[in-house]
Amino acid sequence: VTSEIEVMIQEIRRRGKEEADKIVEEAKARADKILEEAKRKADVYIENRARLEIITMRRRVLGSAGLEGHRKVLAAKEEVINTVMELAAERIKKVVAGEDPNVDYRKVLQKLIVEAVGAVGEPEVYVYANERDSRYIKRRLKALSKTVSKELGYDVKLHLASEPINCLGGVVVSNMDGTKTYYNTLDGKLNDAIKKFRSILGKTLFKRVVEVESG
Amino acid sequence: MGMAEAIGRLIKEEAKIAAMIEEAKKEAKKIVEEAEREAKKILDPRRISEEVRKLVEEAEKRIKEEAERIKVRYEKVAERIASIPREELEKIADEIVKEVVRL
Repeated sequence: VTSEIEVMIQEIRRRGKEEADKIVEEAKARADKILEEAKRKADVYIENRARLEIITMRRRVLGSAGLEGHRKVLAAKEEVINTVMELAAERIKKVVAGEDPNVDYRKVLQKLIVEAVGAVGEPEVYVYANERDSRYIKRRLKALSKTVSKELGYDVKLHLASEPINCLGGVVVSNMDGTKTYYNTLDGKLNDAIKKFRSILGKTLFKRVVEVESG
Repeated sequence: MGMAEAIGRLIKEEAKIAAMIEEAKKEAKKIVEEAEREAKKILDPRRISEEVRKLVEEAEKRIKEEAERIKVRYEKVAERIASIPREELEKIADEIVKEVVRL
């Protein structure tokens, strides 16, 4: 009986310990699961919130840097274009003053008058010019009227406006009642040429510079 | 050992085991409660905000460095444009003058 009881007691102890261990192990597993789930949830919250803030900040900071840089490049381009404009204006002043041996400004002026009178298309017109050109036109008004008539194929009478206008050179022509006016000044032509060359500068010179940089 | 003594020992042993299992249950409860407390700490909004702040701060450093590289790249382009030789600009000015006074 004694040995049988001992065996039973051992068995009871073994089963009891097994059950107690199982209870603790199951609790540990549950605890692990609770912690894992909490960490997973926290990571998702953190990632979502941080990602949103980072994307917004990235867009703001890099966008601002790009904009600032782009402004600097534009300012540099504008500076170059202004320099070209100034150089061109200086040269045109020389042409107008007769200091450019390659250009006969009187012929240029005559061509500008013919173009402008032709555009207005009337037999009698007013011609506006700067002070220097007005003096020249005044001296040669009859001769110029003849030349213009010949060029256009109909009789034209030119009148010189009483007041000079402020421009580099060239003329403004209007009909007698002032309802039609054609601007053919060198300033206007210079602006048109600058607009045209601005696009050429963008497509060639500036592009080349940028390509050299990125290459 | 008599039968009565044997039964007495078995009953005593059963009682010990019942107490041991009760202890194990108490321990298990403690383990789970501790995990729940820890989980609450992990999900604490202040801790999450702090983690977010750290991540954003690290990212901010990297983004600012990137922004600086962008600025430098643009500045170099601007410098190159500004240093286009004057002779080239004079050539363009000549072309413009030709266009303006073209006969």
